Amino acid sequence: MNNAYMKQFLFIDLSFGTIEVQPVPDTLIDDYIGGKGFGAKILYDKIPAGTEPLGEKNLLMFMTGPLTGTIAPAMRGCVVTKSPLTGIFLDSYFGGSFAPEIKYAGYDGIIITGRAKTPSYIWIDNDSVEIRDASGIWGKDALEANHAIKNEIQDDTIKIATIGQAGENQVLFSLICCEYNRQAGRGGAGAVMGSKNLKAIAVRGNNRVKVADLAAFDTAYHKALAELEASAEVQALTAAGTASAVDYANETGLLPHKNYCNGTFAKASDLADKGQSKHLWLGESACMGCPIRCSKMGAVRLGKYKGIVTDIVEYESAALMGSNLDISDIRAVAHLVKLCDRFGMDSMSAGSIIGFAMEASEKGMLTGFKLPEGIDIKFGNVQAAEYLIKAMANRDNELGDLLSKGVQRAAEEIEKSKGVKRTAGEIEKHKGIKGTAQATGKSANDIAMHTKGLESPAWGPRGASGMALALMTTDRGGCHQRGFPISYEIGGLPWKGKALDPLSPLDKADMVVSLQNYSAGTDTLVKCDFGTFGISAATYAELLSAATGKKYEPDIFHRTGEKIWNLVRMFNVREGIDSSKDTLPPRFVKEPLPDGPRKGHRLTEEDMAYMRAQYYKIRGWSDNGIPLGDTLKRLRIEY
Amino acid sequence: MTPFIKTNFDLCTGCSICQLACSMVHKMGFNPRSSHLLIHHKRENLYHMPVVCNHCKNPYCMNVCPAKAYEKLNNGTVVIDPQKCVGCGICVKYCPEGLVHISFETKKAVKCDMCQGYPECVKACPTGALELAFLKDKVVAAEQKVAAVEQIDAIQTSEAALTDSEEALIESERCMTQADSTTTFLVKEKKRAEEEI
Repeated sequence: MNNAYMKQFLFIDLSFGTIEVQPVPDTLIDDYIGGKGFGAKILYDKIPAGTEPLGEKNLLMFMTGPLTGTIAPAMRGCVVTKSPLTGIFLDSYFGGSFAPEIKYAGYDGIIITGRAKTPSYIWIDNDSVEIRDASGIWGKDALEANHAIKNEIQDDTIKIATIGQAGENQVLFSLICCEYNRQAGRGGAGAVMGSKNLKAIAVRGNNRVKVADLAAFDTAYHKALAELEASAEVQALTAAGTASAVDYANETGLLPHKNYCNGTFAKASDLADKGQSKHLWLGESACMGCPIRCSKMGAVRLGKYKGIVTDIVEYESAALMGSNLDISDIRAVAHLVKLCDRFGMDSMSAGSIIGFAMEASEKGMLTGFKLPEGIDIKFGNVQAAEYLIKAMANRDNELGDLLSKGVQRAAEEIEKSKGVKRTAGEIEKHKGIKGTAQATGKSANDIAMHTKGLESPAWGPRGASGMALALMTTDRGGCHQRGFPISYEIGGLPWKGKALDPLSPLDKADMVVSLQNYSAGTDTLVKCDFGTFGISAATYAELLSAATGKKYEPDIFHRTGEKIWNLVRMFNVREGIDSSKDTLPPRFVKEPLPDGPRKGHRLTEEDMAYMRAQYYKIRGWSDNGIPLGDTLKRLRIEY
Repeated sequence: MTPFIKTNFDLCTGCSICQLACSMVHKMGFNPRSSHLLIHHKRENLYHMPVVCNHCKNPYCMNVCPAKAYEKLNNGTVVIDPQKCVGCGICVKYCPEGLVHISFETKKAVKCDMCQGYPECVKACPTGALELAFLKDKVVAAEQKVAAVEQIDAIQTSEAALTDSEEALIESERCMTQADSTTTFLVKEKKRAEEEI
């Protein structure tokens, strides 16, 4: 019978140059559906504890789901690997047209291990797979490399995933740029690819993705379209992408300003859809198969950065590279984000780290680094931000090298170097100029905004305690995408018929668990978060049933999601994660929010302890955050 | 009336939903490469240019076919008869837009057939970048051209009339102003005369 699986994985070992095609086991499909589920299971089974993320043995996987490459709206692909930034599980999602092409080439996933001896790229032309020399494109940025490979293969319809210079240099938050300019952005998947000497993967596929029941699939597809059409949130995304969230976050006091010191920014509208549509936008662009088209393409027409083509500056980048750095010129922010895209570096983490550096510098913690003349690392300075982006991507000076390791390591190293690096004479010299770290008595760790090593997303949780719990417990570290309680707490959606008090720690654990499970469950398809604003679980289940020929009920996503969440937790526990890591950056705990409608609020240690305990109880985990034997047995997880 | 697909690049998002719908209806599976239309993504996705079969008045694909497998239907749609096609691929080489292919399975030439009515790509397009439009035949077009010219003439005549009447209005206003000042003068004169008395 036809179904939407291609029924095989492509295994490539770059150390030995071996290429192997293996069938996807039925049990894997039965238990884990696809996407995140496939990746989590394979990573858990094949990567022993302590595997070096940038070593030969780490796996770099590109996974698709059963609905990827079909006409089912808003589907994506994901990269799964062990993160060099966090040392734990990493799944990073990408839109565009690369994931469908993997299926058209005949595979449900590509699994890469080993390390090529010299810079290489993989050329997958249906069932013909070659490892090719990439010395000519090594050193090019992510988009230049894309164009160069199309030129070499003489086909501009092929779909390519590349790294930029940041990935080559193993910047720990470097990304993989997927056809076209869509990023597997978070957690440093690009560094893993760089560590394998792998510049790119180019794919051409002529197979077709078929569905088991065409009539049922068509009915479900039209239901999904109607649901998207009926959703006000989806309509807002169609109109202005996530840019309008800048104003929303500002009004609700959740917008990071100056490395999260504040929750509002007076010039927020300049960065939002209002500023972007005036200065940048020209037209719309969509990922493959997506009617939502949240991307707004444009260009900087005038001024210092004129001539660059810009994608929408989506909310996370607008906030972390804009308000977080006290920069309100949207053209400058677009320029900085584009630099990150080209170097192949996560603009969220980069923004967060630059914010950290600016605060550290203003507080006198970043002394002893040689800076070019005119570069003063302080908030609001676009030149300083640009300098730091280049320094991090190229790792060509001491400060760039330090920051390229992510905010957690950078803060730790700054702390370690206190008193060690400087001689008494140097300290004396700095005393009169600016307060040194010792003089302020503050620790760099206190201003490092991350959870489990992944830089915090642009949703300050001090005004939304459920969001705080979500950030504390995400599987890959500081991430807003594994559950977004803000829609309920602030957005006013009732949770199980009840309106939630955003500031109270009560009744949050049940919601967070449920949202995480559903998100992990639908990440098997592989869905885009924006699609879920409209498409219901019932319709996803109908699409999945019609595509695969197996009967799925709507609760399949919660059930599979719970299983995946626990399996990933077991992977992370094996890498040393326990309850002590399910926490928030100190600023959210120690410093009350200074502005906005929820001014004065912070998450106390007691709030966190209460929510954590509730969360573990519902999850069936021990007080220390370890899944209990009974829980794993109930979920049929072998460990 | 000849149906054709009108493309509007300014509305195209490059989403390929048209291609997925086309490949499903013609090939029972999803892959844009199996569809009968193209989208060229240009300048870092700033422009997406959909390209569809023109169903040319002078179809090169049909002209070069040695097997006479091509036919132009009464409504102008250019189609291939798979029974007659020998799969030589000459037509593929002479379509300037690259819209004719040799099918991987049947080894015969395939191209857009307008879905024998309302094309699936047009139905599926979420933005209106693809529209079903109609080309008028020669007689109707000529008649309409004459009508259009007459209409334009009429508009121009009425505009001219409008201009004339505008001038008249200005003239009358001038007269009125003059009259007004005459009146003012007379009133003043009267007042002065009264004062004198």
